[in-house]
Amino acid sequence: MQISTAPGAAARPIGQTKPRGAGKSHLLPWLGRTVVVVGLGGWAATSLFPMYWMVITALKGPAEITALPPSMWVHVPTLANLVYVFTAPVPFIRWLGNSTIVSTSSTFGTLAICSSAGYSFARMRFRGRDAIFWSLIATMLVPGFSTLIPSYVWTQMLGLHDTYWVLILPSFASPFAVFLTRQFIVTLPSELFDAGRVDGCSEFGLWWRIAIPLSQPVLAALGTFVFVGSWNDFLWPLVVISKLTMFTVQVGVVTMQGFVQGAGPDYGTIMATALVLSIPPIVAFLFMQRYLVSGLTIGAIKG
Amino acid sequence: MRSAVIAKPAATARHSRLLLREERWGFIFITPFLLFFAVFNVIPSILAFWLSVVTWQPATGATQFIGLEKFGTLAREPTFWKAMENTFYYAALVTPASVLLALITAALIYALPWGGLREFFQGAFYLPGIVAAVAVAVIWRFIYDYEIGLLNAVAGLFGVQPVNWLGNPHIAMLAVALMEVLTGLGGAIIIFIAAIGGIPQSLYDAAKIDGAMFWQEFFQITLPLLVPAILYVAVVRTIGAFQVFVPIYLLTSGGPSNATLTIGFLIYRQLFYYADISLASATGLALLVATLVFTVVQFRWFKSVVEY
Repeated sequence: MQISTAPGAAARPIGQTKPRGAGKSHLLPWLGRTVVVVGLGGWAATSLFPMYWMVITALKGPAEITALPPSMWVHVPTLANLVYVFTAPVPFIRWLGNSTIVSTSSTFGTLAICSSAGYSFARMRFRGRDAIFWSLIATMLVPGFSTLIPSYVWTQMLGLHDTYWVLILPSFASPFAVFLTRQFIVTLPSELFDAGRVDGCSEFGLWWRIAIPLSQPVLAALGTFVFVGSWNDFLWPLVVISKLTMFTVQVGVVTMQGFVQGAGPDYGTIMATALVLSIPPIVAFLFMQRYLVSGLTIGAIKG
Repeated sequence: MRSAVIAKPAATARHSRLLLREERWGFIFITPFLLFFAVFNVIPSILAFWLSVVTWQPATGATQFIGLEKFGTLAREPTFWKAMENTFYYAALVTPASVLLALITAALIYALPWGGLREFFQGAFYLPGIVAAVAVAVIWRFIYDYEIGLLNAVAGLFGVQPVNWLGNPHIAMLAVALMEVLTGLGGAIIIFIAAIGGIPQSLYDAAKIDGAMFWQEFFQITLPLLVPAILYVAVVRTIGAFQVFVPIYLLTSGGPSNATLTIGFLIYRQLFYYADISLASATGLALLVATLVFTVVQFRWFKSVVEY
């Protein structure tokens, strides 16, 4: 079928190259394929449904939200819930700002600090390198909850609570980020670095002019992971931030539900806040999707 | 790569100078990371042991040595064992179901002949997992709502009595696990698809000559060669499940009657409701031991499967 015709790219959606091993499906006849596509479609729709439900509930008025049976569509769309989120007697915009500052700083700092460490582990030879590297990897098995309490106590001793620093600095100590960049840089051809050395490039130059530009795919994936992870983080800010104006948007939204829960939860407002805090990760995902797939698999397959 | 230049003495000197330079710069490049790692990872790890054997006054910083007293307290504490049991139960619900569903979904997506469609499905399953756990949890709280939730409304259409999904001690944990399984499949699916893509085509060609069917191919070639990827996903998923917090915090607060009290939520409660830092540290160490034991067990088990 398609497998034998090399220029059969026209049969595929524009811009798609033939995936490796696509021919493995040859034993699945077309009827089976139709069933698989329909089945997967329904399954994917189930998986995406809660997000759809969040969006339409955020746009519903109170009467429609509590209507039984609930309608699968918005008959009278309203922005009242979203407007309320931004005008409620809580510093919502400040929380969004806090989260933006923290996530962006965490992302760029982690990229710089962990990619240089990853480069060192991949390219430089020094005493104890592998011992240090594998100890770092081993710490990835330690559950965060085991060090939550000491981290809380320690950052309090350092006087970092209720600051941006306590949310930004710990994210730089990410063995996962080092591992990811190391696994990628180790696959770059060493001839490039040798050639750079012969041409008299400094060690810093080798990193900045060769390793960093060539690592863009993994840095894009890592940057997205760090940004989304930091934006979505709930437990750590919940524990170390107690000042209302220093809340991240995640903690803020949960606190706000306390505000709006008078007579039963106001799901319109809650879904509107959930919608607002879902937008940055979704946007990051849509822009970075092709890098994420490779980033997710570097750790699992090549490791 | 530089072994060729060792022949001449002059070149050897240059060689070792280069190695020294490399060693120096190697340390320079990892120093910033190691600094942060020491401050925010190594020190808290050491403190974890120390805090579990002393009492610490946040106001004055005064400490008093109490030895292993808190571990004894923990061992005699029924809620701790209840939380352990719940955490294992939750992981036992989430991990196998996630691995199985992700595996089937990945195999089906991989069988699709169009790359564009594959990418679409990968994205469709990954997207719910990238949304904040807080958002996911509040959406599901609405879906599970006893009075106006979607699930009971749908059940009502079929004449089923409304179910108190989050308020019934026998159902609440199942409801939390269901949410987690349906939300968190994306990463595992992507990893499995990549792993299936890495299997040599020649194996399938040979199977084709032998007249193997799609399902025979899957069970006799694909599945055995996926064991490392399955192990990776299972280990990561178990460690994640052992630390479940946000859904518990937002859906059930550990209730009803401690039916969804997990270790993570217990640690949080010990710190913020009871301000018992020593006990919370001891519980954290218990979680560490449980996690390590389970990881080793999983490795052993998968290893025995591979060797057989």
